[in-house]
Amino acid sequence: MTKVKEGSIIDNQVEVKTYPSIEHGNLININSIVLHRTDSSNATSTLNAYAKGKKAGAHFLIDKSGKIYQTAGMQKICWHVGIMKPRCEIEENCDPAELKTITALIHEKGLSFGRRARNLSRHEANKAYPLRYPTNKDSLGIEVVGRFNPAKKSFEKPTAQQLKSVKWLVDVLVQQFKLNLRNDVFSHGAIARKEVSEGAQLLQYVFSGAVE
Amino acid sequence: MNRLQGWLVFLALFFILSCQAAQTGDVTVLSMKKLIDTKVASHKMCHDFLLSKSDVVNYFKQATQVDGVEFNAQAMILPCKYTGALTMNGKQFKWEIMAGGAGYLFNKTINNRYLCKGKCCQVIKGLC
Repeated sequence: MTKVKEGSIIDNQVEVKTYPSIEHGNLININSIVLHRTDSSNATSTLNAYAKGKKAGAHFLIDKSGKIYQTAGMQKICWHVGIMKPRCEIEENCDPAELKTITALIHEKGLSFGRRARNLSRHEANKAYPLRYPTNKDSLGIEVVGRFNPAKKSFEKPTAQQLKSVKWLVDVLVQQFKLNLRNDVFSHGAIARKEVSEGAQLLQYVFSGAVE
Repeated sequence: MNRLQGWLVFLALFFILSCQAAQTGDVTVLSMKKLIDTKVASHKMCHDFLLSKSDVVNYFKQATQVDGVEFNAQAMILPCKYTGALTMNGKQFKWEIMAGGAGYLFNKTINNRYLCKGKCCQVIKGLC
């Protein structure tokens, strides 16, 4: 029987080995889950980077074998989201004043692309969830090992074991934190300034049980 | 230092400098075009994103090659990019450089990632 105790999943499918370098303060509310890909071909490179003091990371990592590592406590903030996209612009439901503000931020003269995207992300972060996409301060992150292919603009297809593990883990977390599977689980590429395909195959599997 | 030691130092320096040249060696841009993903939010910010062929050459000399894990954590992927083909040290590659400074260099066997930071951003105006 799976249990959650002091921010850790207690289950023989999960190896808990947390890395202080990727834990940044207390995570008070968990509103959502973000599905990531590592852009690496094995878990070792990610775990080694955490061990060497890398600051960005996610709460869970799933290797190609389907093995689940818990790499940060669920009561801790991880820096896994990055620069957010404006939700109301993507979903085409901004009120006119908000759309004007977003447009002004992305076209602000004299600022670099990076600065403008960061400013817009900060503006988004001031909104309450679910008016915006998840932030580091209210979400859990799951990394799934897989390399990006720039020629195809897609990540390598997750293994059957990875898909089974991510589905199991998402179901455990949705139940534990009383989330809505359809509304509160996101692919990283859909919500942040990352490759659009990041996490899309995982989300498709979590929703439908199949991947194209 | 005797003559043999002198030759060894010379050969060592020659080897080190040759390796550096191979890493940042001759780059010739064969083709380039600008692409904007109009399905991504805020794509209108891309209109003032302009790169020249010399910017592309400078990019692959100045940008830092990083592994996938670091790229995944740090790269900002904006909906505007230039893409094309180039040769580096006689080998042909496809390339992509995105507004914000992230880039790819790849062919059938190579799949490299780059980030433009610090001096690279100063050299290539309007990229970062």
